[in-house]
Amino acid sequence: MLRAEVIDAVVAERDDAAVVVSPGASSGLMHATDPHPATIYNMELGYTTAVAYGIALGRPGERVIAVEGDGSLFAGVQVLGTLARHPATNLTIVVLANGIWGTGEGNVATTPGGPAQLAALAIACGLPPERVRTVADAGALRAQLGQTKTEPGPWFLCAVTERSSSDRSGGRARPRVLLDTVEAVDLTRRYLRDRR
Amino acid sequence: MGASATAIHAGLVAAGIEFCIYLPDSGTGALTSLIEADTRITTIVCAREDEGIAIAAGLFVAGKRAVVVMECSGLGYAGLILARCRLQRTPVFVLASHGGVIGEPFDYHQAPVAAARAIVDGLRLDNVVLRPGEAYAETIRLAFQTVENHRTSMVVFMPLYLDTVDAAR
Repeated sequence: MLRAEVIDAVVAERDDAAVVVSPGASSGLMHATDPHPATIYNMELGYTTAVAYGIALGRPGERVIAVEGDGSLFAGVQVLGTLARHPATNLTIVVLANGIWGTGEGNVATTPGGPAQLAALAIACGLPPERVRTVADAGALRAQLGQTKTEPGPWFLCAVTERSSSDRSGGRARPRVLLDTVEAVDLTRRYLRDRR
Repeated sequence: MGASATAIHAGLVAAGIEFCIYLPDSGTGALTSLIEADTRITTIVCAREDEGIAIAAGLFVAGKRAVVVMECSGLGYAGLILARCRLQRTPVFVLASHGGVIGEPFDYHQAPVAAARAIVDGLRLDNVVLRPGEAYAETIRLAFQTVENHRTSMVVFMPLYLDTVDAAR
């Protein structure tokens, strides 16, 4: 599936979930598709899941979603071990597994390789195998995300994603987040506070 | 660090800390043992210190009070996430062993201390060194008060001489 289809699926199934998005193209697409106030964009490489995990620990009754790139996930992969040790049942990690870093020309392969390796890595870190899924199309991803609303996680959904022109950065056009980081984080914090 | 750990723990409780994320270290073990035994504080054992800081940042966004406990070497990993937290005004409260400049007993802690000081100085993070004989509980409580109200990160260094202080009592 395309990166945009992964983002569409997350938007369609997030409901009121807080979302933390990894740096680059996914953040811009997320904001362009649905500028929901409870969204932290462009989290630094390697920390998307950890920040989402912290929010999930602090709001145990509410769903939280980390939208990760495969490169970003691998940069902070040890957090999966922590998550397995101290599970946050309300956390879902969606990994856009396109096998490259979405920067520059977008043509350098990421270290962990393909989606199957990422899923195996998650299981090896201790996540429950029945909560680790590799998903090949947008319909299946939506169905899996729907399942996270009724069945406790943590969930690890590895979305098999095609490479596309949006993987390139620099001067080429791709959606940008029209909030700065201070605004986005404060909106998220206030949104969570006010819905108590 | 027995009596010192008890006082620091009391300060964390007085500050209303709800979560402690830590990575074990010889200089913090007495403290984290007390925290583990305290049902008022949820503990998370992380795998890297920078990860622990990111988790604490998420907890703040969720409206929770958190502390990260580590050896000061972990600050060396954490420059990027601490910079992000500073810029987005997400406060993180760190208790780090060593790093106090005075009273370092081992040569092999030079790199951890140098890295920690570089991060704290480079990011201009507020930082406090617990000195012998101070009122540790009140220092911790007041330090967190600033963290929360100024929405700024702070590192409290806990040198190993806290052990010596305890032994002398």
